[in-house]
Amino acid sequence: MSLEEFIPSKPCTFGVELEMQLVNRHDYDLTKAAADLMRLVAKETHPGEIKPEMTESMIELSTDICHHHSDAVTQLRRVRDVLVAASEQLNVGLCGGGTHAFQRWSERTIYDSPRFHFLSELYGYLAKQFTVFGQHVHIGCPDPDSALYLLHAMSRYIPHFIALSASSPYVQGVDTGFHSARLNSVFAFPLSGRAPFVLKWEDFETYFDKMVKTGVVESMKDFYWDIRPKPGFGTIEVRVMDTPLSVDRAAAIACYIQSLARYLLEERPFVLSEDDYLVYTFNRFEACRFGLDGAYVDPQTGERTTLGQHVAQTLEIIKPHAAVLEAEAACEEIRQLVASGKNDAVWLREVHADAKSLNEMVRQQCLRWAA
Amino acid sequence: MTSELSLFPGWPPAPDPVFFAGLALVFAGLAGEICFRKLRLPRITGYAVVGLVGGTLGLSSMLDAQTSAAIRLLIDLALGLLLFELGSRLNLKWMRANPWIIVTSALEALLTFVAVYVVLRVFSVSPLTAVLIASISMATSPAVVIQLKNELRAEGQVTERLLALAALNSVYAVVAVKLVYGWMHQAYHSSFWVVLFHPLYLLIGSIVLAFVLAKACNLVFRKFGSHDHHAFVVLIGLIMLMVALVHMLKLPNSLTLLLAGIIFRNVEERPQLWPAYFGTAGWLLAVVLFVLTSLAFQWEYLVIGGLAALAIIVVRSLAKVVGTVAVAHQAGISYKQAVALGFSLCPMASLAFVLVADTYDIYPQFDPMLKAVVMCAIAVLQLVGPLVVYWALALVGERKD
Repeated sequence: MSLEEFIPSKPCTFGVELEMQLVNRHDYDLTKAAADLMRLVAKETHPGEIKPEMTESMIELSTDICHHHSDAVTQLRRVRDVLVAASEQLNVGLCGGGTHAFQRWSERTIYDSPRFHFLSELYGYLAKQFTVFGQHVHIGCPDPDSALYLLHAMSRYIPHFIALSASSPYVQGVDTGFHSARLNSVFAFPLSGRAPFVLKWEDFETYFDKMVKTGVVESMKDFYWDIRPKPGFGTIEVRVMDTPLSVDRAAAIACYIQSLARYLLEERPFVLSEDDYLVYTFNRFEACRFGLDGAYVDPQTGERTTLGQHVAQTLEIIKPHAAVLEAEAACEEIRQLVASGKNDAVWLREVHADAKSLNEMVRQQCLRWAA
Repeated sequence: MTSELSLFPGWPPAPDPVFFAGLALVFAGLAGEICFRKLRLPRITGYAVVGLVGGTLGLSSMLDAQTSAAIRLLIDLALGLLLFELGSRLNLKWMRANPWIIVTSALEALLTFVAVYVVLRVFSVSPLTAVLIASISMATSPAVVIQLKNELRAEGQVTERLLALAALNSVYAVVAVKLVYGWMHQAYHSSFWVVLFHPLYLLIGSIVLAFVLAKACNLVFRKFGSHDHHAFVVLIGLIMLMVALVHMLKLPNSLTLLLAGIIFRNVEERPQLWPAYFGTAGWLLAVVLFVLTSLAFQWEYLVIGGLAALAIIVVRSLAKVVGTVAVAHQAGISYKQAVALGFSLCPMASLAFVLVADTYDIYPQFDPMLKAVVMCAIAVLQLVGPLVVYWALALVGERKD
């Protein structure tokens, strides 16, 4: 199978996908409710899409193509309301968060579809351990070469997105010490990591064909990269975020990425090189482990700051672009988040410290999601 | 000489109740494992078989009055714990968000009551006895439902609704039976006060006591935190105290514990999870409960009430299925799930047994038809009921083991 054709899209339009947790209302462990929820929401009209995912404890919602922050907020709230209403009928809780705090992966049931059963066969326990919940943001690109430029220029900001969205400090009942432990599960997959450093679409096609010939991959779906092109949509897809604890936070992060994208595409501020990736995994680790307090090494100057400071500086630089896109409110939300230093992972730890119960913490996650 | 000889056992040595209890547990445990591993049947079926065999061998008739009373206490304690657990899983907020659950519940219970009553009248059972049996028939065995949920680690809409409906119809059954007592007092007592106040005393007494127990459990829970195994000792102690108090005050054990569970769960926002520690100790009590319940069955019941029992088993199951299917769509489940749910509501066991025993405690001379019909139904449903639930949950893919 060869690579899909790149279908250009309007620059800086965007779409958001969120993977949601489905929990029971007794002890707030993950539960089996995707099929029932799908049946109930099928009757409702709403923007975007609601889809089942790999396990019965997960459901994915997405927006239609958005132009402005307000589109994303309206659409996400509407889909959320539809889902929350349906889940209440079923005595099921719905919440964000990159991992479920105390689920046992061996308990998960795989959603009944051929592709999911195939993946489950292939990856074995990894497939079930992969019960993690992410936010994906698609950014529209006018042509394939711009998409590749944007992808590699955006890579240096990956730690920002990780730290801002981080909401997975707990895994299998223990505090991992990480802000985003979810990404550790993603790294276990053989085709995770970053896209190869190519800036011309025909080079990318060559790479893809070679990979197909090795028999390792069949389609773009088999790559679990942090950012990957989605030629069919004419977008690049940023995939490192944990699902935040509220749809408003998800919309704000999406529009921060959108504003950055406009800055990168319009100003083309960097001359890209393979060497940009020397600090990539270091920066990414710092973001996963320490969140906004993590160290950030600038790939070009080697200058060291904290991630929080770097996000604040970046917000200043992209301000004019945010203004053009009507994303000021989103960027203001991000600024406040950085100023307070309290991402969702910090919030979760505070709730847990106060309640001394992970079950209660997940209950409060559900409240935050529905609020 | 004689005094020295008495140091040695006589011949044959006389076994005491512990011997029989041990024997019963060994056999029950083995039968349960054979059912589960070799025959792919629920363990409960094995326990019930051992009880039936024991009853047939005359084990129950060997018990003296004192042991019988102790056994009754043990049943009350085991059933009480299971009822508390079932109650603590009932989320009243869900009922508010989806009132069709209540409608389903009311419908299936009402249909069951009417259908069973009509059938019993066809079998010329006296109206009072028929009403009593119809009331008892509304309840789905809480013990079987909770035990199977834990054994199969079942999860999903049918399981969730099965627990809720079982909790609700158990409440209806107990309340209905207590109200019928009012009617019975009329026949046996002339005093107007007894007729009016006894049912009232039972209901209000249960509610008050349940509230006290629930608050005490919440308090212990809050002080110790949810993951403290030592708190479990205190909580079990509280439940035992409550069962004892209920006996002392002659209140209905089942209703009090069930209500206590419901209040415990619903007055606090935080998840109240202590039954998760029910574990091995709870399992043991449950085994004892299932064995003892079928132990009380006597084959002569079959002659008096066998046919009527068979008839009510059939109409009762049908009524429950019709009730759940009729409003399936509004309640938010598929027809397949509704059918599975309806059939899963069929188990009948220790709660029914206790309600029958209570009646004869008050009126030893009461119509033997009650005992005959209900005990036959229990004997059959203790064997078949778990199987039906097993298959129903498999049908909708909610069974893990």
